[in-house]
Amino acid sequence: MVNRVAIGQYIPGNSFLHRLIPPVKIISLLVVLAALFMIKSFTGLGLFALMVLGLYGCSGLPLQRLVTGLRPVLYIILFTLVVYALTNKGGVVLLRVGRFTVDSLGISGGAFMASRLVLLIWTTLLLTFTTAPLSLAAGIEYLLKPLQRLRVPVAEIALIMTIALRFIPTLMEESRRIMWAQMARGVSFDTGGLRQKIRNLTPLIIPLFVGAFRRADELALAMEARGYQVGAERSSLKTARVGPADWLTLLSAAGLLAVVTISHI
Amino acid sequence: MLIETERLTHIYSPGTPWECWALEGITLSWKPGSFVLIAGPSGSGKSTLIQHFNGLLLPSSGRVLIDGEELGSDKAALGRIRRRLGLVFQIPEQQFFAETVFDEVAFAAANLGLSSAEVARRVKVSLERVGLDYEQFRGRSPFNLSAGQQRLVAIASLLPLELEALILDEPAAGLDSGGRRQLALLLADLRRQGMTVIVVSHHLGDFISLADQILFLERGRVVAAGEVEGVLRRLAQGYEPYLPPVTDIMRRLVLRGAGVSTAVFELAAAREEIVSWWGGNSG
Ligand SMILES: Nc1ncnc2c1ncn2[C@@H]1O[C@H](COP(=O)(O)OP(=O)(O)O)[C@@H](O)[C@H]1O
Ligand SMILES: [Mg+2]
Repeated sequence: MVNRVAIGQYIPGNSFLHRLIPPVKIISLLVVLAALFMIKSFTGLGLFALMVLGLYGCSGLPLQRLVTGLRPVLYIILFTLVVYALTNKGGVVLLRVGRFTVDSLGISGGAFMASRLVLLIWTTLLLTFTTAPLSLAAGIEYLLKPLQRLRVPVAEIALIMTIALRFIPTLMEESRRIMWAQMARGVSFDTGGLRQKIRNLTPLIIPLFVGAFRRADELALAMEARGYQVGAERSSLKTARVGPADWLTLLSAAGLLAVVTISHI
Repeated sequence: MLIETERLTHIYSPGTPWECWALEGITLSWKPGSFVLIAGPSGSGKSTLIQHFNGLLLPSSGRVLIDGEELGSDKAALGRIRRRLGLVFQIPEQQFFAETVFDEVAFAAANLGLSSAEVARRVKVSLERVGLDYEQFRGRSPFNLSAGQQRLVAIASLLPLELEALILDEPAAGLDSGGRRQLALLLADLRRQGMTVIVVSHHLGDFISLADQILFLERGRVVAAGEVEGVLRRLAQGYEPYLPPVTDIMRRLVLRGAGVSTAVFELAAAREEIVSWWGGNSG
């Protein structure tokens, strides 16, 4: 269970999407998603889908990951479809079960919302597939900087985010290792009743916590040794410059939003 | 316990950018009661290999056979294998979770569903086998022991299974020379009692005097395998950093024109080699 690759996990590469700087990618994503929500017709959704698939194609991402990326939200998508189908009335009655009816408008409305949801996820995956988590956190920190005026501890929030992102894979790997070590001592994690399963978690969770606290200790020491201070202004080793490709992307995203808004597609 | 593999290949994350061929076509066969040393640089696939022996990893292609029975995905069969073949992971202290040494060591026995009297008996025997006094250690917290004692408790925690084979991944890592000596004595003892022992170590020096088989890996392939002396002779060229100190001295002597064997690793044997060459030379 811990072996599975995390949803939307970064896929290294060198396409133009990989090379865009993170703040630009995040803003463009938000603009493009706004455009997605302005789209009113299936034709519009179809064109949008072609654009997203095209971007996947040029950035060398495996298309099968689009399908696996949907798996965790499959139930939400189905739920949307069913709720819409049952509550939206109008058009021809297609199905009647007791007091419930399903109308043609309900089906088309549900399909529209579900497709929009799928496209929302695919577009977002385009960002997370092509941006390393730590760059993503740095990008978010950069964009939140203005909030520092309002006394929001942006740098600390970003640090927490960065540390969490950095240690998630480590902890996943560690839990797999501990699980295997305990299996070598005769525990079976996938057989037995519920009570047995819960009891079997003790030899997994305690070493995991002990390890996490040890790591946290070491990290705090290492940070202090390198002069980290809460609230102090920090500079950044890597400073990205906005290049022509970044400007072009921002412009295209804005253009897309404008076209969708004006054309009522 | 007879341990065999046939053209064992293991690929991590196949079909992704992280694809990694950790093992490529490993074929080996170790007789029951052998003491095997698996060595090689970091990342050569040693840990990956041993995790196949109790079915934690399954081959991407090829086969693993324990006493002639192929390991597959049958959970019950894997469970039975894991009770006979113990695997001590790298830094095994990190899997501690119990309040006392007794509970830690009793864990494996309790998983067998034994009576509490039998569990207590096996815990006592196991602690004594690794050289820790039962009365003195049973009530202590496993987290407050010295590194060497922790390592011994971690090994003892597998012994209640009454294993036929024990595999240890880098067991000497992080121990001082006293701890290493104690560990070597324990392994020699287990082997004397008929257990098949497999030790992973990136350096050949640590347990070579106990070994009767060596497997030397590099980038997932076998560089040299077989009896100790043959392997040492084979490794004398190009693998100097992994040789036992005495072997390395002999290698240097050979480079300077001495007619001595590079297949020795103990001082006494080295002296004999040198004396007999010297005598032959001047006589
Ligand atoms: N869980 C894993 N996922 C992907 N690659 C791995 C994993 N574990 C090990 N590897 C890779 O497999 C190769 C062999 O690793 P390992 O068996 O741990 O070597 P060793 O124990 O000899 O140091 C290394 O290149 C390592 O990066
Ligand atoms: Mg290893």
